[in-house]
Amino acid sequence: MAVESKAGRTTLWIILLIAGLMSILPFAWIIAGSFKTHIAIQSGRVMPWATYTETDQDGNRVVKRDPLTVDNYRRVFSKLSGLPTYYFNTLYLAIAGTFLALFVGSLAAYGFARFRFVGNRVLFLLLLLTIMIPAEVTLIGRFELMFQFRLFDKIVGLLIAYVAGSLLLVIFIMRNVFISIDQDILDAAMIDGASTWQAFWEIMVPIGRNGLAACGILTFLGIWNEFLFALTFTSMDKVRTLPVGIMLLKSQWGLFDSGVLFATVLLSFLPIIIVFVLLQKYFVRGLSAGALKQ
Amino acid sequence: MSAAEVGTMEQTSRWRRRHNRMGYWYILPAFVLFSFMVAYPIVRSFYLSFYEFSVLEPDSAKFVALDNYVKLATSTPNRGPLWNTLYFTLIFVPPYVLLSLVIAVMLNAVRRGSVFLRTMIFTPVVVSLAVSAVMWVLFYDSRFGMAQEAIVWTCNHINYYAGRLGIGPIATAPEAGVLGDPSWAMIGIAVMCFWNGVGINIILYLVGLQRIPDDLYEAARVDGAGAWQRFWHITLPQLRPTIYLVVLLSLIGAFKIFGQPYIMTGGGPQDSTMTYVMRLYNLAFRYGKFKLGYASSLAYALALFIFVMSLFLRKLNRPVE
Repeated sequence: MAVESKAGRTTLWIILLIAGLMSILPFAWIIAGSFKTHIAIQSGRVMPWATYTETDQDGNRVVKRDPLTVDNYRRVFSKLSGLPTYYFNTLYLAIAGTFLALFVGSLAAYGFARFRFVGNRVLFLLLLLTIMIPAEVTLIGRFELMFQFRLFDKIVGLLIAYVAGSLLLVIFIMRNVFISIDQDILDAAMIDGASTWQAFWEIMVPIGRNGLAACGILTFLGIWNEFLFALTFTSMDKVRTLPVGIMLLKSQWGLFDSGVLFATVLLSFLPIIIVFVLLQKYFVRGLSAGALKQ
Repeated sequence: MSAAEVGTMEQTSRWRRRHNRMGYWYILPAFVLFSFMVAYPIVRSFYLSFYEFSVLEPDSAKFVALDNYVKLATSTPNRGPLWNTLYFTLIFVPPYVLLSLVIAVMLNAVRRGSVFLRTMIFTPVVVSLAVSAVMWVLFYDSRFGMAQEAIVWTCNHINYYAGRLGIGPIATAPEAGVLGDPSWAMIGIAVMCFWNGVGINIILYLVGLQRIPDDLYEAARVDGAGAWQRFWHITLPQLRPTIYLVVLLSLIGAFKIFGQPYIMTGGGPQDSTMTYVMRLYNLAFRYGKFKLGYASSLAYALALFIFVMSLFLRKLNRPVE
């Protein structure tokens, strides 16, 4: 659908520009605040151009501006801040979880798509049934398991829960991808003596790489964002993830060191935004592919 | 058919059967994980929901049949969270579904600079809900928050003009900050959720919009249909499956809201942002009683509610004749 008139197009552009600026305004505000001292922030002077008046010793009123500081950033990486630990844990979970979910999930997708064993349909329907059930239902059962198998307060426990939780999506998307691959290619490989594993690893996976990339982005973002399970299955600082950690840092820095909290928030969103802007095309493709399968 | 040919066919079918049985090995790892971490917990929670059960006294589990479900429907402490969740859904979902459609249609119409605009509008989507929540706690702060300043400024101006028209002050700014005021806190959380998630809906709508064939619009233009008519008679009907999906996902997301209020307000002030899932979480893990049986019944009631709602929405998702 195209808009014909030039005036109409300009109006659209301006409205969208305003929407876009509103979207990034909070980020800009956080960046500005992260270079201010606690006192300046608490007095409401977050923006760099904010001024205040002071009376000097001669009784003259002078307009002053707060100096910008990088001290907040120095203190984020001090011993007291858990941010580096939270960051490491979350990255580890997101990367390892994504690869495991992609591997285990596409193996199963291959099994469902390409082998007509007894029970194929029934088992797949069983998986389908659980997609309607919200993850909150598994919370209590998983919590018990974490205790019974001594996985509570362990990164591995969260990893297993995340991989299991991400499997469904990978299986659904990749099964469709694998079904659509032409049987002739596989037959040709089989006649040449390829094993089913070789067919999977050397034919299926390379052909399905776009689907895998989409699944990978979705899984990564899902684990990166996850809050409820990370909150419930951990209690020690050294296994906390970034979403839970940022909540703890909010109470740690918020009252007496708001500048450090600004810097912490900035460091929590900056890397992922940079990655997003660089890989924007793939992000959008991945997000839309996943949502349409739900 | 010669004997040799029958022999080969038998061989082939035996090979096929052996080949097909290989499938079990491929689904095995996923199935072990799935049974252990998804299927078992689902069944276990269902079982527990009929018991009075606390981790603190694992041996004293008592079968209470449907008592937990009766209690969750009738007990007064559940009413607030239930109402708050519905209130959140009511103020959050309509703008979330409709405004994102408007923005998507506009984005789809823009040619020049659309990548630039899209990047800006999608950016909040990749920021995790927890980071966004803390960001907006600062943004709403009663002493220095920019959103707070904007709200106070707006309220003052509304009151000023209302005063000149001879009406008394009509707008009350939240003195204790947006998140410190019981009548503002949920609205503040909804605005933050809108900002954080609206990009997802826009992406979904854009995918739907790009699937609409251009010929339809060409034909309509030849017939002399205006822009509004084209939107109403082509875009909207063609987009119906996408709209259904967006409404469904938004409603489910709204019913399950937990992390944002948990981080931003912890349920306060005066329990005004205590949501259903937060109540579930508190019953199970926070009040120190670990009432896993009762909490399980809350989880299943939520699942049932979402299931019934999905069926109802599916009924609505029929083409209008």
